[in-house]
Amino acid sequence: MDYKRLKGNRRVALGLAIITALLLLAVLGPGLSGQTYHQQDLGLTNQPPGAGHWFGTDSLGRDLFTRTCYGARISLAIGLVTSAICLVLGVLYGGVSGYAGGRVDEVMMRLVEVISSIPFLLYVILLMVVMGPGLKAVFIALGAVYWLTMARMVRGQVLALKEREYVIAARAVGAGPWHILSRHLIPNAGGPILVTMTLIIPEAIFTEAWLSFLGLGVSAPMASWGVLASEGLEGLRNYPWQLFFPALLISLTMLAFNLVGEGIKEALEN
Amino acid sequence: MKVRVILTLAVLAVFALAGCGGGGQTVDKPAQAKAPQLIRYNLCTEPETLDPAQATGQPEGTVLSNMFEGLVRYGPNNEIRPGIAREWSVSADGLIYTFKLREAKWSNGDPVTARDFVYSWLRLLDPKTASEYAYQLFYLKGAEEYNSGQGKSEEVAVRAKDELTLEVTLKAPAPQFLGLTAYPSLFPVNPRVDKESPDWAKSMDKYVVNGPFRPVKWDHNQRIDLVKNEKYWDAGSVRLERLEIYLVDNIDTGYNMYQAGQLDFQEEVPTQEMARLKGGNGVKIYPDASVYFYRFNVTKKPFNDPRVRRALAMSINRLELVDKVTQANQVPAYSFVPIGIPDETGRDFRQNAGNQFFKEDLAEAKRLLAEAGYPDGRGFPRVSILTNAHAGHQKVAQAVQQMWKQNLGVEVGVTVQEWQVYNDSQDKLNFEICRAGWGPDYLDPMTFIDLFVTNGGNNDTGWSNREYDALVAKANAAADPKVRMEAMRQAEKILISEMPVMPIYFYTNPNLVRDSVKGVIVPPFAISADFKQAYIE
Amino acid sequence: MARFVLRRLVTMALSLWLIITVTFVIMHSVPGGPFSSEKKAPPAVLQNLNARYHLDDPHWKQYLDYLGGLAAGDLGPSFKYDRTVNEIISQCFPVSALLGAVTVLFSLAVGLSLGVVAAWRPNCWPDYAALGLSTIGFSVPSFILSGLLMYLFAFRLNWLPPAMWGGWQHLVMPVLALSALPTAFIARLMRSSLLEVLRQDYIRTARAKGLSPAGILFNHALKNSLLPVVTYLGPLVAGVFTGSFVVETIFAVPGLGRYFVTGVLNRDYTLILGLTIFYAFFLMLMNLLVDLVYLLLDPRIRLAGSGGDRDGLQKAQG
Repeated sequence: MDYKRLKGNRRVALGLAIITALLLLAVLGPGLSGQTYHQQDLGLTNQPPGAGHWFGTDSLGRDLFTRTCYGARISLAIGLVTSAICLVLGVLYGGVSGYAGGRVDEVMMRLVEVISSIPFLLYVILLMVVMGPGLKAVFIALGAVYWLTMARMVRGQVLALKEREYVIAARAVGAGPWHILSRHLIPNAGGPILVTMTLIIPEAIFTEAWLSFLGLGVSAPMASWGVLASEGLEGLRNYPWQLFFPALLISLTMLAFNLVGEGIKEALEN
Repeated sequence: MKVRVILTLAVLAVFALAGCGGGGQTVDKPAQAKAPQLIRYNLCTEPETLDPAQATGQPEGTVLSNMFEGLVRYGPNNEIRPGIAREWSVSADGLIYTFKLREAKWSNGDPVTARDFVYSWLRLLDPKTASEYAYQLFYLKGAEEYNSGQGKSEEVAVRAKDELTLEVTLKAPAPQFLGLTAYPSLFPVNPRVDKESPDWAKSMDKYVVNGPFRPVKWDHNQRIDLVKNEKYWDAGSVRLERLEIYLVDNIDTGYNMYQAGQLDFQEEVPTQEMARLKGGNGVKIYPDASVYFYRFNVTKKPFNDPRVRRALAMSINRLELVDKVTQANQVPAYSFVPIGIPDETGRDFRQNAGNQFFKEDLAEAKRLLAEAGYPDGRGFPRVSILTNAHAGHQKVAQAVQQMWKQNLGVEVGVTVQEWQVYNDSQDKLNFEICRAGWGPDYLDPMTFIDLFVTNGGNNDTGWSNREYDALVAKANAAADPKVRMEAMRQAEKILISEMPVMPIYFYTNPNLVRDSVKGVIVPPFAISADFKQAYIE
Repeated sequence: MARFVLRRLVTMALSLWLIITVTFVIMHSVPGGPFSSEKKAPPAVLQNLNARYHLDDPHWKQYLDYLGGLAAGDLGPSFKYDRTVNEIISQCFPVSALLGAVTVLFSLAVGLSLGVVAAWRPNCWPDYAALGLSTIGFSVPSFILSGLLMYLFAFRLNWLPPAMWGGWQHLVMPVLALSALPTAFIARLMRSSLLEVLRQDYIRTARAKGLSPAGILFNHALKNSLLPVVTYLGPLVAGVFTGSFVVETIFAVPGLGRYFVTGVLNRDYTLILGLTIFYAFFLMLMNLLVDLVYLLLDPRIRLAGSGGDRDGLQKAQG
C-alpha cells in the first residue's frame, strides 16, 4: 500500500476532515450547547433555529442540536460497527467460497441464500426479546444481515480474479491459498469491496431508523439520525428545519466515507 | 363472473358511446351545477375481512355498518333508533326481548326475515365459524354452551316466532343488549347466499346487503367502492349516490391526498398539522368515549403501596399534556369512565358522578411519597413505563417521565416494545408501569367497570378488591337501573381511591373533514363513521 | 451446462426446506400469535379459533401438515386476512413486479451511464458530478426521499397524484424513490470496475491498434467490468420485485412488500411462511441466473459442474 499516495490525496484529506468534525460534534457538541437530548420544554415546541436552540426544537420542545449530536454517536457507531462486522465476515466468507470453488462454493452460497431468505424482522424481534432492548441487539441484527451482501460481492470477484494470469503464476511458484487470497485476490477486489461498504453503512443506519418505528431499535428518548430524520419528515410542511439538519449530516457522513474509501482504493491499487 | 363484469362494462360502454355520439343533441344543463353526491373517505387501513361474523376491528365495523343494518341503528345523538326492527318490547324481568321487524329487503330482492337473524346469530356462535367476537352474544341463554361445543344450536334462546317476529331470551338482565344489536357482529346475513356461496364475503359480486349502501368493487389496499342501495328500506333518507372508501395506511399521504382534492374525509389527522388546522377549516374534533391511562403492576414494589400510586397520579400536568403533546382537545381525566356514557337518568355518567375524584396536587403528592418511604424520590427503585412503538404514546411517556422527574425527583425509564411483545408483556404482568387505552364495546359504564374485577381477563394490574367485586356483582344482578348505576358509581370511587390505574385523559376523535361534507355521524365508539345521512353541500 | 442447472435445482430444493424449517421454528419462538389482541377473548372462543386453524396441534404436526399442503401448491389461508396466501401473492405480486421492473431498468440505464461517464474521465468534473449524484442516492433513505418527492411534486407543484396505483403518473415517484440507492450503487460499481479494466494490458493494446473509444468500450471493456454489477443485480431484482414496504405504504401501492412486514407483526404464520418461500425461490432463481451470466461474461470462470474438463485438469496437476 502506498502510504505517501494516501497522505497526499486531497480526497482522503477532505473525507477525514469531515469525519473528524462529525466525531467532534458527537463528542463535544452536547457540552457546547449545554442542553440535554431529553429535556423537554412544552412551552417551546417546534421552534425554528435561533439563539437558544441552534437547530431549533422538536415537537416536545427538546433541543435539536443536542439531539443531533447524540444521534451522531448512535448513527456513526451503527455505521462503523456494522461495516466492520461485514468487512471481516463478508470478505473472509466470500473469499474462501470463491477461491475454493466447486462444491464448497455451492454449499457456502446456498447457506448465504438461506440466511438471506429468513424474514429479517422475525429474527430481529427474537433477538430483541432474548437480548433486551438496546444497541447491542441492533448491532448483531444488522451485522448478521449485511455481511451477506459483502460475501456475495467478494465471492463473485474472487471467482473471476482467480483465473487471472498472475494468480496462475503465483500458484505455479507454490504460493499457498491464504497468500494468494490476501496478497492478490482481495486487494484487487478492493474496488467493489469498498463500494459495497459505502452502501452498507447508510443502509444499516436507515434500517435502524425503520426498526425504531416498530419498537425494535434504540429506546426513546435516545434517537439516531434516522429517527430524527423521520420525526422531521412528519413536520416537513410546517417545520422544515427538523428534517434539514439530520438529512444534511447523514449526507455529509456518506460523502466523507465515500471520499476516504476512494482514497484507500487508489492507494491499494499501487 | 368475469364474463358478467365484461358484459356489464360492454353494455355501459355502448350506452356511453351512444350518449356521446348523439350528434348535435344539446344536454339540458341545470341553472346551477349540483355537486356530485360522492364522498371519498380514507379508512386508513385494509379491512381484514368483510364478513360480519368474523370482523373484529373498528375499520371493518365501519365498512360493514354502512352496508348492513341490524335490529337497531344509532342516530346522530347516540340515541337508539329502529333499524330492521320497527318496535320492540322487553319483559318485566328484563330477560325476554321481542322484536317486531319491518318489511325490509336484501339488495338482491329477498325479504329480510326473523329467520335471517336466527341463522346469522347461530352462525356467529357456531364453534366451526370460530368467530373471535362470538362472546358478544353470550348474553343469550344457551349461547356460551353452544359456542364451547357443550350445547346444541337448538338450545340457544333465539327464535323466529314468525316471519317478522324475533324473540330473544337472556341469561340475566343486560340493558346494554339492545344497543349491541347495532353492532356489526350481530348483523344479519342472507342465509340463501351464505349457503350457496360460503365465500361470498371475499368478492363483491356475490355480496348481498340490507343497509344504506351496497358494494361494487374491493380493490385491496386501494379502495372499496359503494353505491346507494335502492332496495334499502330507508333509501329515501340516503342522499349520497356513491361512497368511495380509500385504504391508504399512511396518514401523511392521506393528508397530501386531501390537500390535492383527492379525499374529502380522513379518520386521522397528522399530529404536526393539528396546531395549524385546529379550529379552522378542515379538522373536526368528535367525542370519543375512550380513556387513556397507565396501569401499575401492584404485585411489584413500589406499586404495591397505594400511596406511591396516588402520588404519581397527582404529580403530572394533564392539561399541558393534552395541550402541547396530544393537541386534540382531549379532556384531562380524574375518573375512569369516559365522557359520553349515559347513566340511568339519560344524562352523562360523568355529569352525575363528576370528574374530580382526585386533583393534581404536588404538595400532597410529595407528602405521600415521603410517607411511603421515598422522600424526594430518594431510594425509588428503577422502574420503566412500557409502551408500544406508536409515536404518540412514546411522546406522552417521555413527557410523563420528565414531569415525574421534575416534580417528584422520581426517575423512570421508557421501554418501547413491538406491539405483540408489548401485549404479551402486559398480559404476563412483565412491567412496572404500562400504557393502556380502553374503548367501550357498548354504551354503558359496565364495559369499563368490569375490567378490574379480581382475575379479570383484561385487569392486567394484579389488583384485587373484594368490595369492588361485590359491587360489580350487585350491578350485574340488579334489574333496577338506579341500583345498578349507583353500584357502579361506588365501584369507580373505590377504583380511583386505590389507583391501580392512573387515568390521564379521555380521548377525542379528530378527523380531517372537508367543509362541503355534511351529515356524517361519527359515533364515540365501535365504528368510525356512518354515512347513511351524509351529503355534499 | 444442463448438469449445472440440474445440480443447482436440487440444492435449491434442499435450501428451501432448510429455510422453511428455520423460519417455522423462529416464528413459534417469538411472543405473540395471530389471535392475540388487547381485548382478550374468553377461553371457549380462543379454543374454537385454534381448532379451526389447527394451532392446537403439536408444532411438529403443524409443520408436517404445512409441508404436505406445500407439496400440493397450497400455501394455506392467511390467519389475519380473509384470503388465502396464494390469493394475496397472485393479486399483489404483479404490481410489485411492474414497479420493480421499471425501477431496475431505470437504475441500470442511469447507473451504467453515470458509471461509464465517470470512469472515462476520472477526476474531472463529470466524475465529480457523478460522485455527487450518487452520494445523494446513498445518503437519503427511501422513506425520506419518498416524503420529499411527494411534498415537492404532489403537495407543492401538483404535477403528480400523491399516491395510489393506476396510470403511469403513479409510477414516477415510487420508481424515483426506489431507484435512488441502486442507481448510485450501480454507478459506483461500474466506475470502479471499469477503471480497473481500462488499466489492463489488452485495453492498451486495443488503443494502440487504433480502436475508437466507443469500440474499446463496447467490444472489450464493458463485458469485463459488468461482473460486480451483475452480482448486485441478483439480490436487487429479488428484493425490488417482491416489493418495498416503505415505498408501497407511503405511495399506497397495492404490492406485496407491505405483507412481508405486516405478516410478521401480525404473527400471520402462513403468510410469513408463504412469502418467505416465495422470496427465497425468487432469490435463488435470480442467483442462478447471475451465475449463468457470470459464465457468459467471463468464460474463464468455473462453477460447480459447469466445466468438467477443467476439474479433471486441476486434479491432474495435483
